[in-house]
Amino acid sequence: MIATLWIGALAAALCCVLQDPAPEVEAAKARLRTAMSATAIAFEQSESGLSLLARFDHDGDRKQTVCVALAPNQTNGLVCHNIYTTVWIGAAAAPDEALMRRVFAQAKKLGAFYMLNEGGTWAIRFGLQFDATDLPETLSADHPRVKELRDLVRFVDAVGEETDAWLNGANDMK
Amino acid sequence: MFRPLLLHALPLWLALVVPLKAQSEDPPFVLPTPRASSGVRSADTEAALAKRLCEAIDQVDCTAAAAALAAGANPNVGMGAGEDETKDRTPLIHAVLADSAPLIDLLVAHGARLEAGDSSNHTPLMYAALAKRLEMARHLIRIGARLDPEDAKGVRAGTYVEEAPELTELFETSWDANASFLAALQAGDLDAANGAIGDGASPNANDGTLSLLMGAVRKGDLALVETCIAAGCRVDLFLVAGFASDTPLGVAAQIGSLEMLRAMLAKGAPGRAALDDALANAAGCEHGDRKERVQALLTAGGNPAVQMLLKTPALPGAAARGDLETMALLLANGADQELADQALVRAAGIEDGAKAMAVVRALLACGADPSFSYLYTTALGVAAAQGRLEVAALLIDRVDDETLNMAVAEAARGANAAGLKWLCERGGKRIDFAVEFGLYDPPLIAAISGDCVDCVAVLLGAGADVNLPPSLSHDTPLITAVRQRNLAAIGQLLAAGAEPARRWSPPLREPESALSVAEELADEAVLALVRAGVAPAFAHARDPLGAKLDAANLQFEAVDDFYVIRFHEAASGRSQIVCLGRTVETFESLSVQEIFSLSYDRPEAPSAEVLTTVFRKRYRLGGFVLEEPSEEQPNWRIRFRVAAATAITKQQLDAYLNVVRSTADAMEKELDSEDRL
Repeated sequence: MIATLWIGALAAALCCVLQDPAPEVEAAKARLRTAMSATAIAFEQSESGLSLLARFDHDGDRKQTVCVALAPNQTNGLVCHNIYTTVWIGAAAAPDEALMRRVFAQAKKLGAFYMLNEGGTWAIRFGLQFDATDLPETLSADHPRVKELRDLVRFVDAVGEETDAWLNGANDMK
Repeated sequence: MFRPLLLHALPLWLALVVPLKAQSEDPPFVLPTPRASSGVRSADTEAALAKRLCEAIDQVDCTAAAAALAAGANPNVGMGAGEDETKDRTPLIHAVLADSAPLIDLLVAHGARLEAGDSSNHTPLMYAALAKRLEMARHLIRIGARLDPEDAKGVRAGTYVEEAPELTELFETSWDANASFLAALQAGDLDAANGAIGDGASPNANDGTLSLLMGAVRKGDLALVETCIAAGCRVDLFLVAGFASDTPLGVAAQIGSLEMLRAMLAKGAPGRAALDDALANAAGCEHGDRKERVQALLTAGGNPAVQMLLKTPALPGAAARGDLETMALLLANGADQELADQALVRAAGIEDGAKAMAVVRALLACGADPSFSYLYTTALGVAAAQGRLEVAALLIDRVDDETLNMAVAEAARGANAAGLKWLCERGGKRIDFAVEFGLYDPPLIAAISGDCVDCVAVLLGAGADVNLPPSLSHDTPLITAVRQRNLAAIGQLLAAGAEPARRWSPPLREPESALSVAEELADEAVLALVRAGVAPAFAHARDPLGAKLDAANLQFEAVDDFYVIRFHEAASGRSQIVCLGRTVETFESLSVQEIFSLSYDRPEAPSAEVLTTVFRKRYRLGGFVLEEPSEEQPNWRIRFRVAAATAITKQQLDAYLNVVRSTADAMEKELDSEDRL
């Protein structure tokens, strides 16, 4: 009896693992790709396949990379995609209190700064969300939602580059 | 061609201009300098004087009592002696208990009221009955004490007589005789009333408004007046009904002939209180022989510096008549600075513009204070409220800002839009439209309450705050207009940007908006107008999410640049405030409004540990921002925020608000389990 139950549970778990990703998530990713393409911003998919990367050039051979997360965040009926850029990296040390105060007290029109530790490396990012709730499947370049996405990406780039220069000086984060 | 015409017209120009110029440059009428005012006595001084007077009376010392009265003791204020039911005995009651008729006469001459009682309304006559003072009772009745007043228990003086047959007989006889006497008076039969005196009625019997002598004075019958005085009628008997009081002498000074007044002064031996009262009446009377009347009363001992409750003093009375000669006489005889200041207020409202100018100029030249206010009434305000702009022009540069603000409020109360406009234009930035004086409303509220549409327009045009916050004594302008069902004012205010859905928190009252008040009133016309104003008001402010907030039927209040939404979760018992910024931020095609809620709000800066806890978290929507102390707020704050696109739907807005609320509250709980925000 116990063995039968255990086998049943295992079969159910295997079904879950082998099951295709949720179709709505894939549909959201597809809609985001379509929207990004319509923005006319050049982008490529990251190596991990998790994000779309838009690289921007700035004066003085400075560069800034903006990541648009493909996987949607779903909360309270909303479908959102993170858009972020890295503005500071600490080799192994977390940002000190003074740096945190300097950065996190920067209130921009949109978005917010946050920090993270990935694989032992500390970083500070600036990010915001693109609300893709009810985003159409087909979009032209002049669709308001496309303009919104384009300008959100540009805004993240602008803040990222500005903060990068402020925090790192000539040591461009790229 | 033009030059000859111009030359030809020159004499005409000169003829027109020169007299005007000469008139305006004429030296003002010279008035004597007012005497310095003695100032208001302190409560301690008043109490000390009352004690001094009553102790002198208790010792039956007429000289000391007279000295206390001369020093300013109030003849109607006692010193609070006695038990609970008999405390606050008046000086007259002390005199009754001292059994001294001369003291009674002294006090009455100084204005002591015969019907004024102790704290239980026991009159001097009741005390005489209780104390079985037969002659004292007889004296009081003869000089005008009434038999009909009742004390706090509804008992009359005669009822207090016990085991005193003669006193009982006096009260019964007097009651019957006085009743016949008063019936004759009320019927207008003065001869019959005069005859009743012979049957035992008091010559001074009265019902508070009528007495035999008063009837004779009003009738203008000098012979009867003289007969009455000979029969014992007092020219200085104060007939008191409520707050109003008159004496036969005072009425004669105001409406009688000069001959009658002189006869009463010569034969009636009036007390000083009645003289002062008559002097005020004479100075403000409409007769051409005003100055002679005043002179007669001054010669008899009237004091022009005395001020009586609810009576226009002599100098302001004469000023209101524009009578500079009489004013000069009063000032020469002791009218003081405060009365000159009051006179200026009265003069500013004289209907005849030339006369007003003359009196105002004369008073200013003799030192009257243009910034004086009397019960929040000023000369400038009176001039503006009555459209005397030439007088206002003489005053406006001489008054301080507080007086100017009072004047603006007066003009608004007076519903004189032209005067108000003139004040607003000339006063400019000196004016504070939000200030309120005493129980009077700020100008915009007063204009709405007074239903002066033009005044409302003037004030809004001059910069009065259409969203003036409520105070303890008044509502916002729009709520005032709604309560008054003033459709015109509601329309004006909405057009000027009044916010019908904005919820206000008046002191000691429940929060309310114009919309909620209109809904309570259930007046269809008002409600339709206010509802129609809701959307345009938000459009006016270019605030799309505010409009969606309202359309979503969420309860909120507008505070400065934010809408404040208060959430309460019944299950957890936790509350959280979420704010929606009214300012629309833009970047390229983006158009957003901030939604935020606090997770940390303390004077001390958050530690590195707190910062790490907060800023290491990533969210599906929104993020945290650290806010340093500033001039606007003293604390360190950490707020969770989302920049919401102005194009989002009502449902999305609702979701955003919930995300912000729950995330901020969860972080607050993580940092400090107590629900502070």
